[in-house]
Amino acid sequence: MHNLSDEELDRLSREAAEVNQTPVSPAGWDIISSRLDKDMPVPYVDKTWYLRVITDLLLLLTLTYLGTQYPSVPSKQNAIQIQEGKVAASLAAAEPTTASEGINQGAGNAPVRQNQNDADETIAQNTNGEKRSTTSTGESNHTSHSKKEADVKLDKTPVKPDNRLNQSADNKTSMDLSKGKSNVVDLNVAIGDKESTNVTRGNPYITNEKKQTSDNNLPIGSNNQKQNPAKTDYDQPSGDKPISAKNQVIDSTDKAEKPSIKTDENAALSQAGAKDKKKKSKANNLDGITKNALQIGLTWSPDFSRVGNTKSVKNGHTMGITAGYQINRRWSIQTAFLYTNKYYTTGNSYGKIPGYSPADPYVKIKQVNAECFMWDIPLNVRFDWLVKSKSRAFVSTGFSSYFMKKEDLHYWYTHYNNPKYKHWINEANSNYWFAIGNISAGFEQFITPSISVQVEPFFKFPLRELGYGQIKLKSSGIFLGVKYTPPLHLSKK
Amino acid sequence: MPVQEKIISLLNGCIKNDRASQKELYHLLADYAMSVCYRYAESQEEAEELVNESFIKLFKNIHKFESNRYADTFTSLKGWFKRILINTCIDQFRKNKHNAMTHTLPEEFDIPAENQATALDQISYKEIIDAIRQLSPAYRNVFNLFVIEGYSHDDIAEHLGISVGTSKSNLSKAREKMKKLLLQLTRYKAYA
Repeated sequence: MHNLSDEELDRLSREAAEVNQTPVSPAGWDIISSRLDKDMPVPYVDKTWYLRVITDLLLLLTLTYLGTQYPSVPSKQNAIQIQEGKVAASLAAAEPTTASEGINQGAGNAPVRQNQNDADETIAQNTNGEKRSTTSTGESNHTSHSKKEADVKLDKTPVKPDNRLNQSADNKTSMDLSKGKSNVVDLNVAIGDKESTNVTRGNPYITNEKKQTSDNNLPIGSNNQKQNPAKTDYDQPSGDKPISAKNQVIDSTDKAEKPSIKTDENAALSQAGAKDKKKKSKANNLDGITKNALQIGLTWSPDFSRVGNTKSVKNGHTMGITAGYQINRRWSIQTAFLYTNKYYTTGNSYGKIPGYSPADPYVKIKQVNAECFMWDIPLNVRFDWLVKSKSRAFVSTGFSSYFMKKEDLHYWYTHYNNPKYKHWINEANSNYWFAIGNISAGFEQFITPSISVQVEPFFKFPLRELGYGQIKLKSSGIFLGVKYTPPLHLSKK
Repeated sequence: MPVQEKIISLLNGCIKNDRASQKELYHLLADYAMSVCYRYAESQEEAEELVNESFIKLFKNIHKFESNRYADTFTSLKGWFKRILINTCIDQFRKNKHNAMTHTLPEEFDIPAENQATALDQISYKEIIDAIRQLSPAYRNVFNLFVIEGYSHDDIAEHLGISVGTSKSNLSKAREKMKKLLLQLTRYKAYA
């Protein structure tokens, strides 16, 4: 051995270097990966974004659909559109109407537009089976095509007896379509809109209408207006529009019919009152949904947690049941019982590693990846800053208590400058009462009087340190929830 | 998929900062990297740190590697990576240079003459590597670079920031120490 030459030593060394294999630590890639995440971060790509978009769209569509099905007071515009839709449908069915032709013949040289209007009016009545038609040919543009078709068909249709015409004949004014006042009376009585004759009393537009009608001036626009009162009165019983004023003409010009009309007025008033009561009852029901009512519900949210500014590699989620109590119209108390798992990543801000003293100067934590499982019980006060019959917008604040059940911790650290890795599960339960502050804002939409859906973005900020590592954990997310108001708690008036 | 195409695919993935490709390439080269760094490091932990540092450099500079330049991409990649590994080890040596020359061999390595003729083939390769690692950093680096990596004294002097004469002197002393260490090992085995 003493004679081992340099060449022989070199050869042996080279062979040894070539052959010898030294295994690496299994945690090697984890350390490299975490360093790469810092030095060469991969842009975060949420692979489930499309699922969330689809879910949101479905939710929106459901809300929209349910919103249209929700029993509410129709607006004027909606009422017009609904009626016009029915007219268009009836015209498309090419149902001939005899009434308008009868009127047309009675009027002799009445303008074509008059026939058209009458036809529309009659068709609306025939198809709806309602005396109170809201069809307005003068106002609607998109039904003009159907009206033209109706004119053509109506002109070709033979005259047939019609009950409505008989009713008009009884009023002795139906034949005089070309004359202003009688024409007005005839049309209104013919369509049987008795409600409309009494709710427009004292209308300042009466005088002007009288002048127009007494001059036998029956322009198309005027004639169009004659048929509007029914619609207007239906929508706005206390309205004071000129259209409704024409009904007043009946009372003031045709005194012979006054007693019977007055009787009809009373009936119409009672009907209108009943309808108003109905509407009010509905509104009260809507108000009663949240007034002095207990609510329970289900909720879910993605959870985006972080310690400091270090973004977590994964996102957690939160789900559970919610409960609320409405103190008054705008204020309520909300609580929940939520199960949540949170992912977070920390750097050297993490407090300690099991097996080492926190004061050990030779232990340097490089990164900790953690997943924790806990119960979250928030207690929040909610203020509804926007209260509508079917929706509410609100802000909320309060505190959360965390009850930690499990912490799954991965440590990367150095001990005397040697890189180390440790995996540890802490199952020691720990409670943190009112350790988190809550801030949220949201929107609640009622889909039925007792069921609502809610969207509530939130932010949870730490008021004290949590967990084994004594971290300050921030969380954010968006609660998607469904709420149910038990009927027993509805405060109906 | 053929090895060549797979390597090129992995390289392309690494260029795109794809973690899966980086991980696969790491597992392909990790043992090789460790075998290199192990000879330069004082401890297993230091070797792992050098390996990790080298891989970070590899992934950061992977776009500089010309994968189509050689027929055997993997071999050329290993050669390219080896330079990264050695440079990383040398950088580490430079950082700790103030400790490098203070390392001396313990007295028990003075080998008795009567035991010098024991069988050399009883020594394993791993023991030879361990003997290299027992050299002082200055000797070890020169020995590694000259004997195993094939660097010239000029290159070694340039890389380590020493003179050519120092490099030659350190090499000579490293060889002497290596012989003593190997003799020590054979003596133990002879008495065993």
